Amino acid sequence: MRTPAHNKKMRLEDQAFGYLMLWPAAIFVLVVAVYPVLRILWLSFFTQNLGTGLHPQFSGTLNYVRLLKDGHYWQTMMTTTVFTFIAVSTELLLGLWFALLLNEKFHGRSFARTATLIPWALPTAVLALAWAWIFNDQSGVFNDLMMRLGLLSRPVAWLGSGPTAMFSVIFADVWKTTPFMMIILLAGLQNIPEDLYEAVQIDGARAWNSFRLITLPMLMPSIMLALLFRTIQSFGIFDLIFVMTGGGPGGATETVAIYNYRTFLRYLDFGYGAAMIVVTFLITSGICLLIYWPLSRTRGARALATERAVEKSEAM
Amino acid sequence: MKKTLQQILIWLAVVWCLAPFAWQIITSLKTNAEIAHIPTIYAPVHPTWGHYQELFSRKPFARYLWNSFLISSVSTVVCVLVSAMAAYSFSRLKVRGARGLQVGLISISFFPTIIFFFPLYELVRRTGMANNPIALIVPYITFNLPFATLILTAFFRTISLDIEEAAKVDGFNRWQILMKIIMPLSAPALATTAILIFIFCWNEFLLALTFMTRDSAKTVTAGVASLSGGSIYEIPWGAIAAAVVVSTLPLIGLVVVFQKRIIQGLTAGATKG
Amino acid sequence: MGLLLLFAASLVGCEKRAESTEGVVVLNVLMEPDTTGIWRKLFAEFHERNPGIQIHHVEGPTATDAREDLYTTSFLSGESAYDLVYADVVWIPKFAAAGWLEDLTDRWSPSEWDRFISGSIEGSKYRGRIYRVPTQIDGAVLFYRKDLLAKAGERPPATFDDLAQISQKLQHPPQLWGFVWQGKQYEGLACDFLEVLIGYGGFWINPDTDQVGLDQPAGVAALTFLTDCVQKWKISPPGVTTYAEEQSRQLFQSGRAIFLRNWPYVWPLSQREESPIKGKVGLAPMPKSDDGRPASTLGGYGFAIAKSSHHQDAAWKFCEFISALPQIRRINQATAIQPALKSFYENSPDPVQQAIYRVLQTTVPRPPVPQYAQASDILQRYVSAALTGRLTPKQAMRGAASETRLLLRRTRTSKGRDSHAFPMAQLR
Repeated sequence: MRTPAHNKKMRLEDQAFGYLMLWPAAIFVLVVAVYPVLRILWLSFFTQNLGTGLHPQFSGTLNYVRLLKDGHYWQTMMTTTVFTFIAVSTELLLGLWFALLLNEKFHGRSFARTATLIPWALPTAVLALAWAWIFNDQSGVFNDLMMRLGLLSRPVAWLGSGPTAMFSVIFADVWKTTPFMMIILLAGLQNIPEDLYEAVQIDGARAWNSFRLITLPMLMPSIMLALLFRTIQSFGIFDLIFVMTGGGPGGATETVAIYNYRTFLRYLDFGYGAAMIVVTFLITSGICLLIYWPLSRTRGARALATERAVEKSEAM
Repeated sequence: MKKTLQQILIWLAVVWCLAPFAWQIITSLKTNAEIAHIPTIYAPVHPTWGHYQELFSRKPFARYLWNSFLISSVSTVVCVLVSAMAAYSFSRLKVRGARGLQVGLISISFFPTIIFFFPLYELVRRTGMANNPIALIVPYITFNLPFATLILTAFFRTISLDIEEAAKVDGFNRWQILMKIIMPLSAPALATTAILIFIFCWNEFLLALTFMTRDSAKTVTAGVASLSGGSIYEIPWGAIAAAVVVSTLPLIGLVVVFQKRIIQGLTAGATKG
Repeated sequence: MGLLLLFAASLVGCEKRAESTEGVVVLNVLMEPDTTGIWRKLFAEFHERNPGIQIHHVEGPTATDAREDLYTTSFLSGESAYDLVYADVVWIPKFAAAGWLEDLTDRWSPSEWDRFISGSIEGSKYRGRIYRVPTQIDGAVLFYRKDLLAKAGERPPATFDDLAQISQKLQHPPQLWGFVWQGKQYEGLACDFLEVLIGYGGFWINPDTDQVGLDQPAGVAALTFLTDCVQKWKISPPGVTTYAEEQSRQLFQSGRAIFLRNWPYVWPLSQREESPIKGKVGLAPMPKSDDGRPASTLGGYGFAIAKSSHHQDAAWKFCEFISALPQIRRINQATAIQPALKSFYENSPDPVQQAIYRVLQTTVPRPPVPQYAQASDILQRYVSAALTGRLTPKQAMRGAASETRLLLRRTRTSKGRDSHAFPMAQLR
């Protein structure tokens, strides 16, 4: 009975069914994602804190003006930027290295891959306690190992001073996120066709050249994506630092997310906290655009160059 | 020669990945005296289960584990269901507004939790849902939707339409097709998705810390983090180590068993672009 | 599918924590760990006298900020986990402004409230109403080496200039420093600074008008005094910018400082058998300048009652019990915490307690504004910047004042006080 009318009815039923299937997801998204974002925007134009008895008072752009002059906020922004920059670039390099290592077949490869997944899979907040213990100044194993290896002559109070605390926190974060980078890059590596390498090798290229001309450009999409994702996440880092140092000592490791959280739940300064979220989001997006816009354009150019190089060698 | 160097480096990397966890296991078995001993003792001379006992008696740790398990499981099941429904729609049916939802979903995965947490907290307060697992389950489902729909949409697209045509001829309606045919066929993808969702839910901290204030309602992450705090001299490092081991053991099990699937799931998500 | 619904149903109907059994009311209070065991004893004794009421001590961390956060999240989430609040002075404006504390003003007559040292009552007030029964009071003291001063024929300094002069005259760093205090960037720094600020006749925040006095001449003079101690006269060790209470106490107790600003807990520790300065320590109020008065930052704990508690009268019975002289004495014996009850001092023959009592008359509260924590954070940052030489005192005070003013502003158009959610405070 495949009349046009019948088909149309089927299509309409399909449309209706399709709608129905989307509704549960849509409701979740509306309530948990869309509503909060709108609410935050709205709230940022009000003062709602202990000074107003926790009643909202319209204050226009006052929160934003205050944020501009808030030395504490900009300090945490700087801390977060430094953290992100160092941590993400370290993860990338280490992740790339691991991926190259694990790309080859070897004995116990499966076990190695499982082992390298562990850091990513464990809860950050719980492991942060483990790290605080590792970096403990009196009885921590990090000090012990460093001294046994002769790299340190006296125990260092890692979490007791600003720069060393930053180091510890970055160390712990790199440990956790390198596996994620590695997995993404490994998948990217495995997608590179073997014949590309063969083509270049015929020309007598050395390992470094094949890496530079083939591996890197072909990996760029994966690298870009992973970098973008990790940068955004790193700007919003909370769990690790909150549990490991609480933002200390003296605010040396306090990131924007922690200051933001405390603004809401310790200072009870709700409107101000909302403005902080908006500004932080804008800055984070701005930084991402700033870094990745030029890079994505070069990515396109390099990929093109690689293709041309390969075509040339195939033609020969 | 190069091969051996490579092997060594790989094993160093493996050790580096496992070391912190292994160290917690060792610490949890040492007596307090051995823990505080300088220089560090690497092999406990008098291993003890005392910290594990202390852990379950000092705090309602079994309760924390149960809460985590309950919340993670329910979130996983519902999320898989909801995302399968949405994925079916995305992959098969041209629905107006579907694009909008897809964009919305992708954007969620880019925002860190701190953006959503306060309005959600307000909602939780106003509806009296503090310390109720629902307060965590609903957000957890939502945060995992982008990822889950991505994987399932991609997978559903690989299922040939012929199967569905045949089923329609046999008289199945759309819902039955989804439930009785597509889902079973997608078992591998569903499993992968479920594992990743479960891991995410188990590990979530910010919302769990904020919404669950009563000890008996806490999940493992919030509960363990609340073991610390206070001066450096009164932190029970042995009990904390035991807590870390116990709360992460289930995940280690998951990773060991499902290693391949996890990697598949992560890379499917990453290479979508 | 059906299983799922079952799950969901079981979740929504979560059991409420059963807090009181048949006939016995249980009051929950969050306090630091009871290391001396005195609180356990007192709770048990209270239960003996009041069989229908039991106090449940919820053990929290030792850090006061951490406990404040636990109370805050508990109250904020709308759950009444605690009936009694063991509250620090600085918590009262915040908790009271948020509406979490029961107003206790009318539970006692003014003369009954007058049994407590006035500073401790001031610290229990918000906008003229009393929210806490103080059990203890803390006020910073100027400790000095009376042997060294006597040998040089000097009297304890009454003014900041005297303090600086004596220090410069008698010190020989690094074996002996002049003036040791807490210069680390934390709440203690705000306390130290506040004393010097009031001593110079200045003020931090006027809680009734929201006026900020940091960038006035007195504020700059106060900060200049502290930075001069470190940079110009060098009567304070350079490490003082990393000291909290314990580091400064240890320096003084090992005999390497002439003057120490710290809390009364230092006294019994300095008089222990093995202490190198046993018998050589004197106590005095903080110095002042001509325009100011001696000031000692107020601290100390007390018991407040949660508005959300269902057992407020039972909680009040406990407050009456714990603040009575016999119990206060026992707490002091066990923990060396200074009581807030006047009669404790009036009945004490101990001259040191009398000296401390005199100091406690000079206590000043930190500004009782609800946004105190944030204001303190701002002040700490700028004072610390000046102490470490990153900013001049003038720049620092101007920056601190400007940020604080923005903090206290409530609407775009208001410059100072604006419409309050509460009726106007009565002038004290």
